[in-house]
Amino acid sequence: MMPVWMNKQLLKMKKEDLDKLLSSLKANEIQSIVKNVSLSNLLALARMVNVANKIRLTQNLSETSVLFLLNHLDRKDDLAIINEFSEEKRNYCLNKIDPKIVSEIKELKAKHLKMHPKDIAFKLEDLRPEEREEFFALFTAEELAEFFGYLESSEVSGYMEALSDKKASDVLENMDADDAADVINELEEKDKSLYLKLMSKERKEELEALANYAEDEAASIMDPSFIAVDGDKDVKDAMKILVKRAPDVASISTLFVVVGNKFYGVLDFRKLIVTKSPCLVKTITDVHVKTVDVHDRIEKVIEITDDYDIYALPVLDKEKIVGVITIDDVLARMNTEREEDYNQLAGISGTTDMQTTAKERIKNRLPWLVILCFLDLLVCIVIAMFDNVIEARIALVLFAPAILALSGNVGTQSLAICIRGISANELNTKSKKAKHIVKEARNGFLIGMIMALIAFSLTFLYLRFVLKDASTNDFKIAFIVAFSVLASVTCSSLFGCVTPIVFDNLHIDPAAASGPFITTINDVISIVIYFSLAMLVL
Amino acid sequence: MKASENLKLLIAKGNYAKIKDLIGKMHPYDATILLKELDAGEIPVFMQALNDDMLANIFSYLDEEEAKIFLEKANPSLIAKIIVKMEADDAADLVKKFSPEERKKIASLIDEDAKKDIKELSQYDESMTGAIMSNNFLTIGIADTVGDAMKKLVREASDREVIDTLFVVDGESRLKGTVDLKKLIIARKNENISDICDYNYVYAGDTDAISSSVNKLKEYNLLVLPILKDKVLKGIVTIDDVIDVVDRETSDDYDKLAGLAGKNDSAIKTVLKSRIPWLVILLILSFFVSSLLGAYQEIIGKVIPLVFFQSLILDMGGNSGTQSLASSVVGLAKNELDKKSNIRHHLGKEALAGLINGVILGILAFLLTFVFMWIKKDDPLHKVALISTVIAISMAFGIFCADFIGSVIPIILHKCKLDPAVASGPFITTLNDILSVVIYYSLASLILSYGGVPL
Repeated sequence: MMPVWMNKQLLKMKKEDLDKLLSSLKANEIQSIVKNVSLSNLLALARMVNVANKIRLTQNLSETSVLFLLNHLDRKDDLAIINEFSEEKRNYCLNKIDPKIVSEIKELKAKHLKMHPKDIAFKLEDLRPEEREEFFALFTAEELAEFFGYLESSEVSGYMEALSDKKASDVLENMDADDAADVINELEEKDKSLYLKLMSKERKEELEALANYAEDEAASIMDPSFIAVDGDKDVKDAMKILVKRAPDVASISTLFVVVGNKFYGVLDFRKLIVTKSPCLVKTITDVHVKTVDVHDRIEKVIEITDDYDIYALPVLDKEKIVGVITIDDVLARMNTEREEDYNQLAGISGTTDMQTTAKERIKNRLPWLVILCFLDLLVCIVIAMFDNVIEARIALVLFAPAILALSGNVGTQSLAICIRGISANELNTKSKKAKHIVKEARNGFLIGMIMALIAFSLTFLYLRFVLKDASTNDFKIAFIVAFSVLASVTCSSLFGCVTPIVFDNLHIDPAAASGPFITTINDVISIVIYFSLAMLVL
Repeated sequence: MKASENLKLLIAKGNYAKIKDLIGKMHPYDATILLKELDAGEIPVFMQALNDDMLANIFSYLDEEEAKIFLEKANPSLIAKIIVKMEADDAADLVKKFSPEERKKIASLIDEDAKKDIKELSQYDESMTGAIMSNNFLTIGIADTVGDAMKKLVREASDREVIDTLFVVDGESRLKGTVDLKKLIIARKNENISDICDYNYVYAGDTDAISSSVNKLKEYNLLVLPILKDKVLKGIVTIDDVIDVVDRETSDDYDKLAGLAGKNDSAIKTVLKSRIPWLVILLILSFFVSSLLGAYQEIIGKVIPLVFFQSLILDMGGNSGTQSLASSVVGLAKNELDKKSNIRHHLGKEALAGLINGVILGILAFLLTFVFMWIKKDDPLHKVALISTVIAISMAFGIFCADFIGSVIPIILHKCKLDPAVASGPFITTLNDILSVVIYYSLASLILSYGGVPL
């Protein structure tokens, strides 16, 4: 316990030192200070310190002290203090203080809420940490939750430390459950358990349940709050439930009908409002609806939403509905999924945006490049094995890059087509896979034929008219190049489509067979074909 | 029995009622899958069995070209009936696919209102937001009470696409704000719409680029975006349309990175059309690399080990170039590279990443190639060290240049109003090949002759 004289000393301290001291104190120590100073000294203290400390000083004050402070501090500080309170306590305080001050507070608030919430949210990253603390103090946890809904979970988790623990947990309480679960995932263990402890029991259970699902499972992006109605009830009851539950759910245009604990179908709001009572909900429910299982892959969710234009997709666990996936979440997820596929084809892990630092960019790419470097060394070793052939016919070297580039690109093409086919669920049976491989082999051969013809003419013309080296047999070399093109293009085409299928069968993400990877493997094959053929013919 | 076989059987029997029943229970998208499996002779029966509403619904899930194929044989009055029932934006796209004479015939069978709607939408350029907007939205008056609005909602809701957001307009159809359906339901009957209206709404102009409207809808987490022309509400873009757009665009970018043009399936005709053109261009470009190599024939003949590692240098340049290309293309697609400062920032980071990757891989390449040649014991250690040095520097420099070129080219193309994704993987790779060959062999002749290796 701090002696009384200490409290008096506080007022004589420099602002920075005072802030530092208060920040280092525990909650009960702050309590003892507050208890031991007079109201006027408390006011003086509150005026001096920064926002975070203002909030700490005022959280457990008696009603009269709070009202006294609110009446005497400036409006910005008033907002900071009441925004920490529950809605009930906030309204109570606003009713008790000077009405003139209340209108000034409202004015200040309105000034800051003039922009669209998304625009406010996007501005946050430009603020310095201290500024952010002051800015957040202007808004309630509900309002902050709305802003944060527009941001990436990694950004939001970074902003949490600018809030008091209680307010941070309130924000998580008010965000969409799936978004909140993502944010919690990004937090440090210590903060995570602290915030979970401070929030309501229902929310805590909800978030813990969501955290159990893997990132690529449907349930990880579902919203656990939706309107469920009993199919055996009358439409009038359904309407009542709808009105009662409306504030808690994202959308009311779809209701989910349950009969005896089992999911039954969906009821369109448009149908509900035109149906006159008496009428059982069951009779106007659409039962032919698409659903997904909690463990289904996100890719499936994206595909169903895209194909069937479903705004709210029910997520079932066994036969029970446990959540709903809304189309806007699907769109957001579709963007990241597609970007990841795209990046993987280019040999980059994860996603990149403007915030990604050079260090992270290197981290996403260097591992791939190192693996590829080793794979390429394999190509070097193979070439080196043919050093006798090369020494005898330097001209052969000239065309190696062309053959390699061509087979690499054919491989990437058939890889891309195959990965697309797998992710669109078009290659889901054995016979379809076999058919696809046969077709790709045929296509590879066909493309190889055409390319071989072109390559033959180009090589021949080049050797005869540009290089004009009498010692090389231009006809023979052109033949070797052409035949190698045919063989390596056919092989690459086949390899490009077989690899992702094999990966898929082994339950490895087929997109892991990235373009550069396939290209390098194809390089090895092509080089062996080219130089062996040369050795044979020359 | 599979649904398609069942349907074929019913068509053969001419059992219209059962066909209608079967399709009626299905989602229209599933119906399109069945429709695609039918033979030409079965399609007329299928169409006759269903009513106009069902057909219009099914056709809105097909793309215009597919829809046109199915409608080709139908008589103009049926086509007209379907078109009237379709969403105006889908109808406008479909009508564009018909020849002028057919269009005239169809137009004569459509009532004036629908014709006006379709005409209005078909005047928009394909890249404008107006071309994908729907005019099927629900408006309420700013002077109405909640009770009035509810009545209107009950009357009109069943015909409207998306009702989560209602649009509040004044007497001249100018958009004043929006009301959440949720808010309307909770509000008391005698409250004024003007009191519960959200005036802070997001909108797009009818001639705005589709990509900018798509981004708006995504960033603001909207289900529906109002489209205005001179403040007057002309239409809406819904999130399902946006998903289709995103789906198409991301697939296009993916294909371009892989060097594929246009549609993809395994049919010979499309293979020839989508894959061969790129490959021919690429092959010709590769021969530039070949002729470039021809210029260095002498040094190659004297220092054979250089050849072993040529593909290593070329490949690594190509690989890292493709990586940075992808990161620029994605950045452009996400509208993150629209400000000068952002571009400078992005290029700075890419250059730094390229430099560091280059140095690390250069060192790795030095070690690997040195050990490799040392084991092979063809050359004296002094020469091996020199060759490894050439490789290391070429690798570092090549990767740095490739990274920079890969990230700059899409941005330049974008500035020139060209599709940045055109600078596909293969294209960048070949460009980098040329650069790498020049760096590699020039450095080789410089360093090796300096190091006293006879050339």
